[in-house]
Amino acid sequence: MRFAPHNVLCLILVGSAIAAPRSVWNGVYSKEQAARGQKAYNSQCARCHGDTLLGGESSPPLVDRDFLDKWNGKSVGRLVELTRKTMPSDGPGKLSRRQCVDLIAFVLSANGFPAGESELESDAAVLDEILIQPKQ
Amino acid sequence: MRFHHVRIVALSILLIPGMRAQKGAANGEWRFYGGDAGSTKYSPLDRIDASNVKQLEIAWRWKAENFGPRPDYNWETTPLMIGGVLYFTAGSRRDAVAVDGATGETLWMYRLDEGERGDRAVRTQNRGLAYWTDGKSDNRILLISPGFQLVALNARTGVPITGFGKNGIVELTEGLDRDVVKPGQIGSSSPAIVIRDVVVVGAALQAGSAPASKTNVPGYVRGYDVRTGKRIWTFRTIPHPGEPGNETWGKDSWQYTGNTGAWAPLTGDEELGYAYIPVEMPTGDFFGGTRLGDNLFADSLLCLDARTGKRIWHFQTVHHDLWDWDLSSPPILADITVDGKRIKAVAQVTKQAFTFVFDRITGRPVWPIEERPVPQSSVPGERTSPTQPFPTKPAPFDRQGITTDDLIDFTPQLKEEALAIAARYQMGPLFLPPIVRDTDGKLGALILPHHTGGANWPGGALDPETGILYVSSVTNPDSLALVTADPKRSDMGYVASMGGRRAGRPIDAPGGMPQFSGGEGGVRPNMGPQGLPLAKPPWGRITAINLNTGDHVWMIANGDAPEAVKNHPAMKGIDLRNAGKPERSPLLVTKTLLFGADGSGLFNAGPGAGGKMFRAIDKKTGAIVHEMALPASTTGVPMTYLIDDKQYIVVATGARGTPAELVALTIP
Repeated sequence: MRFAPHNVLCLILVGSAIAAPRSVWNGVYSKEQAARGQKAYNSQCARCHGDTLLGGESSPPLVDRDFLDKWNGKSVGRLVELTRKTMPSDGPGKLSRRQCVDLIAFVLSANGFPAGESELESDAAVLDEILIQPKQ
Repeated sequence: MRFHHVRIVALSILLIPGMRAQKGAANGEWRFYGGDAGSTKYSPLDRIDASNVKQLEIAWRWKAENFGPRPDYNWETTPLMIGGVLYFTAGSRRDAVAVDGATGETLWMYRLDEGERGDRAVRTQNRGLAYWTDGKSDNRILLISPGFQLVALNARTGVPITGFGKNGIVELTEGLDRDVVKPGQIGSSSPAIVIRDVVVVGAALQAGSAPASKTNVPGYVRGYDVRTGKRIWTFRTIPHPGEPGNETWGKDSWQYTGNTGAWAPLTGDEELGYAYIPVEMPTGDFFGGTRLGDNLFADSLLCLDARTGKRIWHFQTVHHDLWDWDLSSPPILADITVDGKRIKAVAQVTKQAFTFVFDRITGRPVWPIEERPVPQSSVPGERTSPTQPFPTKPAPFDRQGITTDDLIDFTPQLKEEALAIAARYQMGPLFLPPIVRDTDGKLGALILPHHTGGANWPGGALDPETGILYVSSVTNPDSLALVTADPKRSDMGYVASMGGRRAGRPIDAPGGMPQFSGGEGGVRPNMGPQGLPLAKPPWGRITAINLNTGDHVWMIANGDAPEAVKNHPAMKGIDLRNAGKPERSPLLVTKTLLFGADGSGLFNAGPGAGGKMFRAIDKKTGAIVHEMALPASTTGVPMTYLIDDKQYIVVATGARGTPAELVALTIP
């Protein structure tokens, strides 16, 4: 069987589409997951980062310009890992990866990134492929 | 434990003659959070002294790790000791616990599962409990739960007292002039205090850097009958029309503004029947355009009649606060002699490094306090108070205001870099107001002491025999900057923006974040060159102030510099022995020694704050008599007591990732 050049081009394009990293604009978490994350946020995070997620005395904002400027171009996986390893700041390392993923789903929701059909997965390799970025 | 109780009381009467006449924690016990109702943190015990303190060893350890659904690390508790038994709050659920003071054996624990209101506790820190006795067989422990309920427990059994409130519990969210008080809006981190059979209760609210709304719950001070739990009085820290002080709230701001609670531990004078209440600022830490006016009784030291809640006197230490300079530590009672005149005094140390000293009966300042003009705000809608109060004596115990002379200059290069950083900020004297970010090209206003500096809840300790006050403080300039609040997130108009210094700064940018470990983990990054502090050391200090003369006696650094600073390549060869850890030393004073420690470094502290060192200090000179490493950082204020002629010092410890525990020290 012979491939015509235009067929090869098609295959390359399809391949690129599959490999292209997702972004937070692709509906990477579910509403239910964000609600779970909000509950965890209220008990674990709100006392420092505030109900508004705008930050506190020594706690950075988790929404809007300051947050997005800082995380622009970074992966959701990195944000999850940072949360898991350093939060809550007085006793880090006690939140499960699942809890951290839910928390980040809530943070994404609070920043206006759209919810989708499926939940944000816990798999680090998958999370590392999801980029935080401004709307293209 | 009954045997213990009888034996200890008998011993203390035999062995410590004349102690009843002295101030401080009496009879070898520790009945109040601050030792005595006057919050002196003083005990006349002398079994541990300069001659034997080097022999101090750990007698027992009590682990809090399994109290509460998750471990607690930053345990700010100070146990009470009555009749040989320690009583304290423990764990992330704030259980009340009784422990044998000689062995550390757990005697009872009380656990209240509050569901969502507990999970959403506005403050998870806990500092301890209050105690009351009728002098006979009715002995009670008073707990304020994370969800803001007042619980009375039988001190012997830990069982709630059924005749108190509803089955031992009083609802504290009622009576706050709000139709609805939601979980997570109000609570308390400090214990109540019982004066003249009245339980006086303060309140803590969420930090107000960027509140969702100018409308919040007011942190009124309340008094409850210790026998029945009935609310006897409410003192409105935000007065209603017709009440004195209402005129200091612009427009209708008294109606919606909240906070103005007393979150620090409280103080009282049983003999006078007065409670001394340190009040915090109103809603909106750095923007007051929603609450124009002086805002009484915010940032005020209040003297209330404990039986009626009637205001005897007050003094406002900051008018129209724009700096988050809450009164953050318990007022300290001191009987002093000034120019030959005996004065029953009360001293209040502050975040902005002042010591305000008053006649505690009349409220008259012991030394003049002057209203001086201060810089005015450029923020639209803000109206700064034209003047602020400055005590003429004692001198401030930490640096106030910042100029280029205050910046680190260890090497010419560091000095140059520090000057370049500082040039991005507005600098000025104390009471320099916050600015809107990028005003005149400046990221923010550089404030010293910042709201995370100066003194804070560990406060000070007073030796009643000498009238010397010991206070610990932190020197850390930091920036205040405002940004326009997104109306969908907050109706405040302006909210804080982490001092402007994180704006648009990627986490990987060179110099963007400190090089030290933990900079991303909730530790407040340093502002200075290469992740170093911006201001010259000492970064943490202890100051001794003679309240009879108002003069400073000595000042020492709080240990040496943080390891991360000492090991920084740019600091090679520089002597940092007296640089001090950027944390407040928790202080305990006894007849023989002052005790301090590196501190926890777990809340609002700079990189490298905290450490394991516990110290015995010469009271007269500040010389370190002895220092020893504890298993972790000291997170609470130490206390001391006597059992079987043996003096113990007990202190709460913990560290990031190291669950909390109590450590008891004694001479074996």
